[in-house]
Amino acid sequence: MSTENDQDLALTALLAAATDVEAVLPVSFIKASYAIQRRHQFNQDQTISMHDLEKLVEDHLAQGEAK
Amino acid sequence: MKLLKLTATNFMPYKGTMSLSFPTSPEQNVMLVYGDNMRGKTSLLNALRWAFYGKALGRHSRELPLQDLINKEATLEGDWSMETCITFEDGGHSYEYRRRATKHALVSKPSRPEDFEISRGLLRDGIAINGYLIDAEISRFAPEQTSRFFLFDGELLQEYESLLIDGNEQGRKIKESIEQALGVPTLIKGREDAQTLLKSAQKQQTRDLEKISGMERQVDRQRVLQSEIETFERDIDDQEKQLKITKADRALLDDFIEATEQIHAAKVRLTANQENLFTNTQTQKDLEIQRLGLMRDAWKDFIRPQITLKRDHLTEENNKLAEAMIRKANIAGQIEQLKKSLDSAICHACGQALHQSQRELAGAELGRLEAMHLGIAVDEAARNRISAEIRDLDRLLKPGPTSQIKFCDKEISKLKVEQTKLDNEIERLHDQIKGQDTAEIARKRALRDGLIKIEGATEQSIRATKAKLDKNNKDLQMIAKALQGIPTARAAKSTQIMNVAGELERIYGRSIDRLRDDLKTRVEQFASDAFKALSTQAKYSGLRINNNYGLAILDERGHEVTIRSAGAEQIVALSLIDGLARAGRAAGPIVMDTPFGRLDPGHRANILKYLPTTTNQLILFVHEGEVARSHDLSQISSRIDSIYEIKEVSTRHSKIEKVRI
Repeated sequence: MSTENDQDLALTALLAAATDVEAVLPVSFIKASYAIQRRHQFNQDQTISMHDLEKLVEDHLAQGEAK
Repeated sequence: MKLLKLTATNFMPYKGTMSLSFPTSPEQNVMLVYGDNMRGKTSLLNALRWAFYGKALGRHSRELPLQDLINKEATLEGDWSMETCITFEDGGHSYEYRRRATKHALVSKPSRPEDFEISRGLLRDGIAINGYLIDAEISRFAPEQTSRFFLFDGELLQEYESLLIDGNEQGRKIKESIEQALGVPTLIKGREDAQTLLKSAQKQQTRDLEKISGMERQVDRQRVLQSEIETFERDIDDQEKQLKITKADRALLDDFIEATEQIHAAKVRLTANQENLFTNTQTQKDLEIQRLGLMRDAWKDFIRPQITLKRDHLTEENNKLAEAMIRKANIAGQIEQLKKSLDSAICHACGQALHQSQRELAGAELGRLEAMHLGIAVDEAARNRISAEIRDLDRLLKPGPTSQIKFCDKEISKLKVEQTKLDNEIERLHDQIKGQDTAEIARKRALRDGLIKIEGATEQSIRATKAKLDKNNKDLQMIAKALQGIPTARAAKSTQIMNVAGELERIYGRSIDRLRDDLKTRVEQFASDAFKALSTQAKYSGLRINNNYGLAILDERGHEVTIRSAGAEQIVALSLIDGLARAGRAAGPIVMDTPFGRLDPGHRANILKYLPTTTNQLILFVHEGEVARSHDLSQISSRIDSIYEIKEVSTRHSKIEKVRI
């Protein structure tokens, strides 16, 4: 019954889609964004995942500036 | 997840406390609960559902009101409380989840869910979990959205046929559940979050650009587009909410209409019969009037023989008079000729001169004829009188009304028989709809038709607004692209966030299509494997999936089998459930209520052999007609952990007992 599947089909599809659209975002960033969605997938309050994603983007841009 | 024990108190027909212990051994992972219809098999499924999610479902997956879940006998004795407790294991932790409903102290007889106080508690490894975290914890391993795939109501199997029909509302709901089970919403929510972030950054960019001279036109245009987008989104949201309400209202009306279909049909027949009865009685009245009119002339038929006789007699007299007149006229003609011959002494026939002797003979003949002429008496007045009498009699002898009266009698008789039948049918139909508010049924039918029209109009309106929204979004993207060429704009933080969010949105958007395609391929493969194991028809080569996850059976040449039996539908649905289970999640328990209803022994045997191998716990709620203990269980006897029986104590009270295998 657990949705924790060894073979995470959704993540596989997401990473393949990044290649399809020739994304410049790093794989680690895409994986981190997916982890946020997995964590909150059954949470009715979508503002929580949204807040986490905002934070992730801020950190990503801050890292870019630091480099 | 592994279920360990279910305990329920005063839940539906189970008065007092009952408990079920689930199989825990991987080798003996099958449990059966036997019960006749109306004894409480579905209530057991609902006990599990209520234990996990606080709701129980009735027909068409409608939620049952809380006050109807408490055992009726217990409530009659004043006990308005019920409780469930489910214990299970997952990820190395043990859980105990307890839920209790009790009527509020100030309520004497609860009549709505609000009259109850509900409490619940989840223990993990004996430690209580905070109330606000319970749902999240349960969702980790048994999310409600996917529960139909492990708490499985066999009576709803036929719903899966709707997946084959595009645009079917039921099919859409199941498709959503399937995609929930397979993880698609995770990506959809990812795309939605990226979109929200993108919009927020776009607004910030507009504000940032205001400070840069020469950007006024772009700023104005962006602002207009953003404002319109917000309006469109609000409109779509409102309309979708309204559509949902309309559909829910319509579904309730559909249920009501389905339940009252027979009453409505009886009412329609009653109205038609009443109209027929009216026509019948009206026709009878018309025929009676016609008959009365005919009776006025009916006496003529009684004296017809005498009149005929009289007419014959008069005709004879008339003929005699006519003959006499003709004879007298002939003689008068001869007399005239002879008189001429005697006066001229020339024969009128040959033109020769008459001799004396011949003249004498002619004179004698003339005398004889004159005597004869005098002897024939012709009464002209009598003849006129007789002719007039014959004409009068002829009028009386015209075709009589008797045959028409007979026709009327026959028709009236037929109508009376029909009237009796109609009277009986009307009485029967009156009895059938007695006590039913047929006006209310008619009102709800009309209301349902009206709601269908509203649904169509709302859906059309949503489509139109979405098209406008798409156009505005494209226009905004064009502006964003143009701004990339302006260094000051490109450097703004809001633009950078927009770039990241925009790319993330594209990735998530593309991934949704990819995942759906991958899942369909996997589900089709797994379901085909299951179908081949379950079906007894060797010539079927597998299943083909459509965009809604509907499955078509393929024959040995790979062509779709267009006509499927009810049993075949059930096998396809079970194959889909198994395919979904294996494509989207790790093995867990499957609880099935009445899953073998339409299956023959061959298919039952295949399912009983196959399912225990694809799940860690198989719990079946069945009746003896579905799975016969005497012979159906022999091939899985080594797999069976326990068998229970539901026994009736009274119509409102069932108990459950473990039986020896």
